[in-house]
Formats: sequence, C-alpha cells, structure tokens
Amino acid sequence: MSPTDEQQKRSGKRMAEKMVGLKEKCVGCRMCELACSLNLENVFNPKLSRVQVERGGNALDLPHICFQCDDAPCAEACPVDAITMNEATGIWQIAKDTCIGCGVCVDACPYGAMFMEPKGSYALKCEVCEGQYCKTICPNKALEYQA
Amino acid sequence: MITVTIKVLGPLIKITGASTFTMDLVEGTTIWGLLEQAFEVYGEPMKAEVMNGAGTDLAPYYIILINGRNCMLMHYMDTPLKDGQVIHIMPPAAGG
Amino acid sequence: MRGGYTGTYLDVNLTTSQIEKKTVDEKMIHDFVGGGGFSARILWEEMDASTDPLGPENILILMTGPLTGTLAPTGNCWYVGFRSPTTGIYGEGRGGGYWGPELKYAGYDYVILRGKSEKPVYLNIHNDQVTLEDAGHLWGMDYFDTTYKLEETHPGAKVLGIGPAGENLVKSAIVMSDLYRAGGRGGAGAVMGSKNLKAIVVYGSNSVRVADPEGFKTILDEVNKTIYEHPATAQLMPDYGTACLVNGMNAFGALPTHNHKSGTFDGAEKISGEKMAETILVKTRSCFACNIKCTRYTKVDEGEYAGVESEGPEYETVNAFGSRCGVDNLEAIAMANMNANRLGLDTISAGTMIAFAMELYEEGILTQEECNGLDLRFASHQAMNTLLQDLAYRKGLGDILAEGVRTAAEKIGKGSEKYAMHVKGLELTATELRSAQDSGLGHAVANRGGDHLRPWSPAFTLFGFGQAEIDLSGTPDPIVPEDKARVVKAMEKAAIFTDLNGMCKFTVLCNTLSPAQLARLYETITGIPMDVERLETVVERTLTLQRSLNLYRYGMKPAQDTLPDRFLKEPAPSGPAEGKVNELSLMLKEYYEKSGWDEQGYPLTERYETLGLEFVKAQLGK
Repeated sequence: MSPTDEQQKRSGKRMAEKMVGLKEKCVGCRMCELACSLNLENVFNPKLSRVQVERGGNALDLPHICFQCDDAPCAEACPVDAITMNEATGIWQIAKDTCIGCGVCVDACPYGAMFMEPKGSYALKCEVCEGQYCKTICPNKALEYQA
Repeated sequence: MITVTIKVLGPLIKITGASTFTMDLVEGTTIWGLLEQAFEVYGEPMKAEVMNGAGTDLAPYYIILINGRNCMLMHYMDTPLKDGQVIHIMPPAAGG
Repeated sequence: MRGGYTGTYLDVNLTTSQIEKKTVDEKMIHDFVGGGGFSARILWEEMDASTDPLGPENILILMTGPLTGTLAPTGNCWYVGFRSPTTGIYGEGRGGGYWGPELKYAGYDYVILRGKSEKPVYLNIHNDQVTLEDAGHLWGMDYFDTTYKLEETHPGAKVLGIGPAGENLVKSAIVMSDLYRAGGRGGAGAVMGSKNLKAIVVYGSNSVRVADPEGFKTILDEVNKTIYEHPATAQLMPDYGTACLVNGMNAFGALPTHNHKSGTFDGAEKISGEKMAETILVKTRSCFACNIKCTRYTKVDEGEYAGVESEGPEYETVNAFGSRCGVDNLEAIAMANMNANRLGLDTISAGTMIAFAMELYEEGILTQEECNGLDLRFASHQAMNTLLQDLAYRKGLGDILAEGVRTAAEKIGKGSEKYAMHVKGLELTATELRSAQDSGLGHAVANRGGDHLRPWSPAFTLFGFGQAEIDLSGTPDPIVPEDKARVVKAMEKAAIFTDLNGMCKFTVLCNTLSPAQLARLYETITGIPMDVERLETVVERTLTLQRSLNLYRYGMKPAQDTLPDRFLKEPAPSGPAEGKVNELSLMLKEYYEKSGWDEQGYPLTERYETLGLEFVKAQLGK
C-alpha cells in the first residue's frame, strides 16, 4: 500500500489537490528538484526544492513530496501555527514570515516531505504551484497531479 | 530461389519473435521486395517500426546492412540480394 | 548577472595541509569555458618535463563545467585533469552521477590538489568549511565500502574516491564517484593514491545562478523536445542502455574481439543490450539532470554469479570483459564490472590488459605458471575475474600488468609488444579500427591516447547520424580512408564543447543537440555571449593547448600519432573490412591540415595567434 492509499484510508475525507511522486517511475534524475528551485526561486538548488528525491540501495528512487494530508501532522506540530490549510483547495501552506525555522514539522512529517531551507530560516513544502514545472520537466512521468 | 539470413535488433526482436531467421526469395529480389515479404509475415507492427509514417522510406536513422555494409553504399532499397547474404535490419543505436 | 560559474575554487596543498579559496580567473572563463579546457590551461602553467606523474609535484584537478548542477540536460559532469602516469602525457577524464553538481552547490568550480599527505586523508567539503580528515580507517577499503562509511559520517554528502587499485598505484586505477561513476582513464586513481588522498566528500546547499531564467526555459523546452523526438535518445538508449551497441557494432564487423584480432564475435547476442534487458536488468536509472536515462541497474539472481549487483555494465565494459576476452557470459561480465567499480579500476584498460595476457598465453609467450596458475585461454571467465583482482592488488602477473599494457609488454618482451593494444600508452577501446577507419584516426590523434570518447565518429560513419550537421553528401564509407578528417573534426567539435560546459556527450553523439543549441544553453545560463563560431574557436583552442602540453611539456613526438601494427599491417580476418588495414597516414595528413598543424603535426605559429594562445607561443622561444 502506498503512503497515499494509506493516508486516504485513514482520513476517509475528500481529497485535496496534490502532486504525487511515483517511485516505480522515478529514475532518480532529480530534474524535478532543479525545476522547482528554478521556478520558485530563479536558481538551481536542490535544497530549495519542495520535492526531493531519495536515492537509495536496491535502486530506490523515491520522490518525496507533500500529500496534503487532511489531518496534517506538520501543522499539528508547528508551535507557531505557521502551517495552515487553504480551505478552498485543501492545500497546506507555510507562512514564511511566521515560521521560526524550528524544524519540528520536518520531524513530524511521516513521509519525509517537509524540508528546511538551507540556512534554517523557514520550512519548505509543496504548495502545488500553478506552473507545476516539476511535472512538466520530469522525463519519466513520475509526478502526477491529482485533484 | 535464393535464401538470405535476416538479423533484427532492438525493439524489432519483440515483433519478429526471433533475432535471426531465414527467408526464401525469388532471384533478383531487392531490399524493397524483402521488406514487403517480411511485412506480410510480421504484419503492421513491423512496418510501423521500420518504415516512416507514409511508408515511402525507412524510418529516420534505420539502417539496413548487406553483409555488414550499409545498403546506402550500394543501390539503397533497390539493391538486389544474392543467395547466402546476411541482412541486418537495425534501429538507431548509440552510446560509448 | 553572471550564472553557471561559482567563481571560486579550492587550492589544497596536501603536503602542508593548507587550504585556500581563490577566485577563478576571468580570462580563463572566457577563453576555455570549463572542464578539460581549464585543466589544460592550469597544467600548462604548473607542469614541466620533469614532473613525476606519481610525485608530489603532479597536480590533480577536479573540475566541473558552467552547466554542471543546472537543469541543462545531463548537466552533471565532473572532470579530472592530471599528468598521466600511464602515458606520461596529458591525462583527463569525465564522470557523471551527482558529485559534480554537489561541488558547485558547495560553492566551487574546481579543486586543485597538490603535494602529498604524510598519512592517508580525505578532503571534507561542507559549503565553506573545508578540512582534511584522517582516512586511516578507510585505507585498504574498497570504493563501495568507503562510500557507505563516509555517507554514515557525513549524511547527505556525495563521495568521490579511489579503491585499492588507486592506493596500490595501479596505472589503470580510476577515480570513482556516486558508487558507479568513473572518470580519469590513464591513472587518475593512481595519482590520487600517490597523494595519500582516499576520497573527497562534498555537501553543498548554495545555489547555482542562472543569468537569464526565461531565456533558459525557452531553449530548454526546445532541447528537451529534440531529445524526446530523436530515436536514439528517446528510445534506444533508455530501453537498452549503451549496450544497445553490441549487436550493432558486431553487424558492422566493428566489435573488437579476442584482443582486437577481429571485429566479429559469435557470442555477441548473448552479451547484448537486448539480452541484458531480458535477463539481469532490474531498472532504468539516470545520472543527475539527465533525461536520456541510459543507466542500467542490474542484478544476478542465480547461478555462479548470484549476488552480483551494480549499475552497468556499459557498452565499453561489455566489450572489454566480453568479446575482447572472448567471454560470452553476461553474468561474468557483470561480476567483473561490479568488482572493477569496487576496486577502482578502469574497466576498459583492465579488460584490455586481461585480453592481452590471454593472447600471450594462447601464443605460448606466457606459461600457466606465469599467469598466476590460471588457465588463461580466451573465454575463461573465471580466470578473467581472478586476474582482475590480482591486477588491483599487484599479485604476480597482476603486478606486471599494473604498469599498463605498453610497459607490461616491454617487461615481458618475447615479441609481446605486437599484442599490446594502446595508443601513446593508453589502452584501446571498443571500436575495431579497420572496420571504422575514421575511429582509427580519432584514436591516433586523441590528446590522452587511446580515448574511447572523442573518437566516437562511428556514430556518423557507421550509424548514419550527423548528415545534417556535417553535410555529408551520401553516406560516408567506414572502410575507406577518404574524407575522414572532416568527420573526426565534426565529432570533436560537439563532443569537446560538451566536455567543457559540463554536459554528457550522449546529448551530441547522435547529432541530437546542435552546436547552436549548446551555445544557447551556455549563454542563457552564464550570461556570457556564445555562438557557434566562438564555440568552434574554444574547442580548437583547447585541442591545440592540450596538443602543445603533450609536445612541449611532456616530450611527446607526433610520430606517436599512430596505431598498433595489428591495425596498420594485419588485414582484418573477417567482416566487411576483410583483407583491409587501417590507412592512417592518408587520414593523418588531412587531419593535421584541418587542425592548422604543419605536416609533421606541430601547430603552426600563426595558429597560436588566431586561437589566442600567445602565452604558448611566447614560451616556445620562437
């Protein structure tokens, strides 16, 4: 059972818009990371990307990207309520100015889909941007938009 | 009649089911003729793989070798075949 | 705003443990772009004829290109430059994977390593913190275990390093990165070992900038479309990897077999990319930022070689440990590939070495006793795998072979030189040079010797790519020498520019991306104007500087632009080139002329002026 299925079953609620990473398709090129940082930050920096690919033993290539959980452990854990859901879309968003960069959300996320900005100033997560450049650039259709 | 050995590479193997097979041809048959006969046996999938969309020429970068020599260096698709020749039908390959 | 380059490099003295951060020279950026251009420029300043390749005075430069770490397709390359202990001349290599981009994210375009550490150390680069750390616990460890250990100590970091072969100063030792990526044929691993440097660990979290993001996105759309529409990069390479060449090369009679005796191998199908896809292939993967996806992840589940697991084997490796050794057992080749990666050996040179020993054994020049007790006939895959280990640990015959095939033949004597397959001391590669005359020329003139990359003009002459680019009327005939210099120069232009800018040659090998597209990628990322004319000048400048290094710093003679007698005097025994030899001298004359060199092969004085290489000319005393 994939994390998405598991999460859907657990919540049993309506689905938010989300970008889903498919490890069966991912080849580990990490072009999505570069696309994300280019699109949102105008630079190439995988550590500023809101999707990050884990490359491991047994040829594992797994894109970590936020599933937009209904009951989001990251939001629950946040001490300053910087992570809030957009009611219209179901997408969780980080208020960069409110975030204190404590990193509790990174530890709280069971799917490894919360990241820390390299200088530790604030947390990063996929907020399903309009461009969806990661999905456009992926050479193997390993990112899927679900609404 | 003449007999030639056909060797196919890459995705073609899945279509023909074997990488090597022989074909009996009427004397004087050209590569065009050989391909037409092969398409009758292996059907549309082979034609779609080997030929361009209009069916007028080989697909881009497809190569046919006669005894290891590119048929472009002979009379291309009109080159007549001889008994005992080995014909390679080759999709584009690369690497290093 | 400048993009692509970080503008900073590290100068590390291993003797004194001094580490300095320095600014990259602007003129070098403009004149040489990156990669092998930078390393040639730096080596020109730092080397003289007396530099001992394995002495502390040799320098090892780990380099990137301006597009390394960017979203330009295959922007993942690292390069290594050095004086080769195998050939005595210019040494260079390229690797893919993830390490190169990480170095850029740490903030550096390149690292110069000089001197020699007293004790084994590794270099730890964590953004602006750069330290030398004790590597006593890693010395003697194979490259995979070294990587696992260092990844534990430095989570998220990328590891470049050497295996036991490099520590033991084996001349075919290579530098490895990201477990399965290799670069630096001609003994870069031995140079690293001679400095007592086991690894370079890099963690980076800075950004690589892009000068014109919108312009870049536009050209990126265009080049990605080209890649996805080209049959080689869209279908064959992702489906079958580089080993898709095995059957094709065999069909042309160009698959080196039995130590280059012939170009056709009866067992070719059994070791082909098609067979690999049916049997040991687990998954298609890719290097960083690559949408061509030629990487194979393979695993052997049962039989004698069960448990073998690695990326690859690539075409060159399949040829080296396969047909050149007469081996038609793909699993045995996978074993040799994995072990070469662990030991830090260049699969190409190691395979050449073993094929050489096999032929000497069959010819009665080496006895079984002299072959470490191995029954070293062609096709004996167990013996091949044993000898590979002996090579890395310099055991018995392995110790002789560890000096490279040229020196090994000198040591063994008894006419064995005839069987030593090399150019300028660097072992030959996976193209039969009578069936592809152009590749013979490419090998003879390549600046690092028996190169497997720049001479890949068979993509044009055998596989028919490149008509548009080089305007070949009709199809070039691979078995005749006429008009081949033009083909080799065309391949050089594309291949070398990717080598300078940090991209993989597989973007250009089949004439997929055009020089104009490469130029546009470069200029949108860096902000430095580039066009095809300037690109051609940079390539020629780089080639000529590397040539000058060989001639004026390293004592190479143009007469070394040659091939083993096997190709020049022994007619091909089978295949389309049956009865033919390589007619090198005709092609050489044409190549020299097109390169702006005199009839002897020395660059003309005015060539230095037109290429902006006055600093070379000034030092020639002319």
